[in-house]
Amino acid sequence: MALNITQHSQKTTIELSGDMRRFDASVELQNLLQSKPSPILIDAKNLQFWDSTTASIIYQIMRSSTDVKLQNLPQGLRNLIQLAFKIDRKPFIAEQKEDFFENIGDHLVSRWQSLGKSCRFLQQIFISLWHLLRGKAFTLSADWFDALSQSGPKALSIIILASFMTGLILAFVGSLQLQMFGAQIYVASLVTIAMVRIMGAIMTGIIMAGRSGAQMAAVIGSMKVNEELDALKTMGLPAGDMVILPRLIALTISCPFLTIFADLAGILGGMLVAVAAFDISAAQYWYYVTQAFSLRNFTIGIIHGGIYGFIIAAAGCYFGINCGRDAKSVGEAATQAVVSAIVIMIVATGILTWIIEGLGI
Amino acid sequence: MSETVIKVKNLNIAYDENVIMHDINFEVKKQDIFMIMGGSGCGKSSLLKVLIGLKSPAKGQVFIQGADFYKSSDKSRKKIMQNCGVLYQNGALFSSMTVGENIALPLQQYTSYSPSAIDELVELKLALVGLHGYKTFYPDELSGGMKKRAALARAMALDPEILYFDEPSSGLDPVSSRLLDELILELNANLKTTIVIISHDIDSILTIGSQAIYLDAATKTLAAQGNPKTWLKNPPTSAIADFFKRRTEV
Repeated sequence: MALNITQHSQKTTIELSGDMRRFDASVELQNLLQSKPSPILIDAKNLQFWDSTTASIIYQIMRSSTDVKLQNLPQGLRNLIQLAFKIDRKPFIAEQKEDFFENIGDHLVSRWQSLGKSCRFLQQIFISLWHLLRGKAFTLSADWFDALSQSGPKALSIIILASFMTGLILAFVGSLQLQMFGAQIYVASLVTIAMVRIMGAIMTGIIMAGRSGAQMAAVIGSMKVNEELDALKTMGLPAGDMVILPRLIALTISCPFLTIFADLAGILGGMLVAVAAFDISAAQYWYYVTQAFSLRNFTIGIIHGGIYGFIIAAAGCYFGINCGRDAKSVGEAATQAVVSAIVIMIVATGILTWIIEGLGI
Repeated sequence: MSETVIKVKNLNIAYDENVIMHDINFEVKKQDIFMIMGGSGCGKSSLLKVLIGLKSPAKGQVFIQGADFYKSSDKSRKKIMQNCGVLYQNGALFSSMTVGENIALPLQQYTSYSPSAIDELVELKLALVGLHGYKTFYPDELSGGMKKRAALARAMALDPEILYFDEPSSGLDPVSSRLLDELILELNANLKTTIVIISHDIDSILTIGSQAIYLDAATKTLAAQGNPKTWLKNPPTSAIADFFKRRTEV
């Protein structure tokens, strides 16, 4: 196989010969085309076998020079080249913005638009809740059952395990410090207050964000890719009621209950460390647990749990509904749902703490 | 007598215990445009899955270019599949890659071409399907017909000797469908590609099909094999007559 290039002052001749299947001529062509030769004659008199690499050589030459003559080309190859130049539609490529201030302006406008989108989504949630309160929400019982089981019983074991380990770590780290003052018995109080007041709710929130939030975004995103959401809209069915309500209510209800289990698991984890490593009896531990336990902290923890559930479900549904229409977008929606839910949860914790302390509740 | 490219012998296709097709026998000759026809649910897509190695047959053999596909080693099968391109019903372009990257992927994977040669081949393949200039576009920026053509460019990236199409005209308007048919004819004539198409688009079958088989959902086997153009006047079975007359069974 060969590609012979002969350059004269007047004309450049390229001879294609032999078996030119899978022929890589990138180096030869690069050198040739840099000198912008014209006119060019491509002669395929001795060409025996060809494939699309041969066609791509001719196509590249013809694109870079306007004066190219083809000689002795097999009819199939000639047809293929003609087909390649039969462009039926040119793409529209949007002008790239180079200006720094224009880019900043674009960014601000897009932020403003996404804020508007979030507000409309919240409005949609409240409309759906209003439908529910009036008994006019359009939902399917199967969706409620699925949402409740996904956000309740199926998540329980992982939450218990993670909270148990959290209690265990809290007790271990706390005991080491308290031991220096001979006050390791107060590890029970430390674990109880921490778990009941906030840690139980936070552990529940983080795990549910990773589990249910991501799942909601992925499921709703896939519904969008499969045009199921469009189908609901065109049938005049309220997608908000059907898609958002069961998930939102299920998670807002189940998270406080999961928080209770998380509190209990954390306290038990602390007990394991106290009994096994610091010579504290189980009875003593429980006595200090009951002393440290307060209904106020417990209620605050439960409220946090409920709010986290709402945030996770809202983030999951929001990113699912606003997801693009391809596989990549579904993955991105799931990631954004988890990350946003955790960030909003942290901000919400700060605001809640400030309100609770400010009001002296 | 042209050479046999695909040979299917006593093939049975089943899902668990449920046999959906039995005793399928046919041959596809080199440079045929071979149509697989039949009503919905007759097993056309399952047959395609067997032909492209996505589903093992319950019984029987599939020979591709002389090699017993399901008795070959994984390595040999991979080699055989490099000689086959598949255009899936929805295009199946990778959404995280640009159109150009989609087409370059098999070239990067299975050839030792330099990046600039691959780039030029991508340009050519896109131009051949009428998408010159769309190299940097993502699949979600293309229309349905353009996605199909981009997917076709990817399917023929390695100059396969066999191209399989799963309902190429589904979801396309008549003009796009006709353009795709013309493109299939051009590829078949110029690149000497053997083409296997699953279709129930009668216009397309009659325009481009050189050979066809008809799968009958009722008998769960092959009802006829031959030139589809002759079936229009002399349908070999009443099911084929109904298919061409677009009649439903009573």
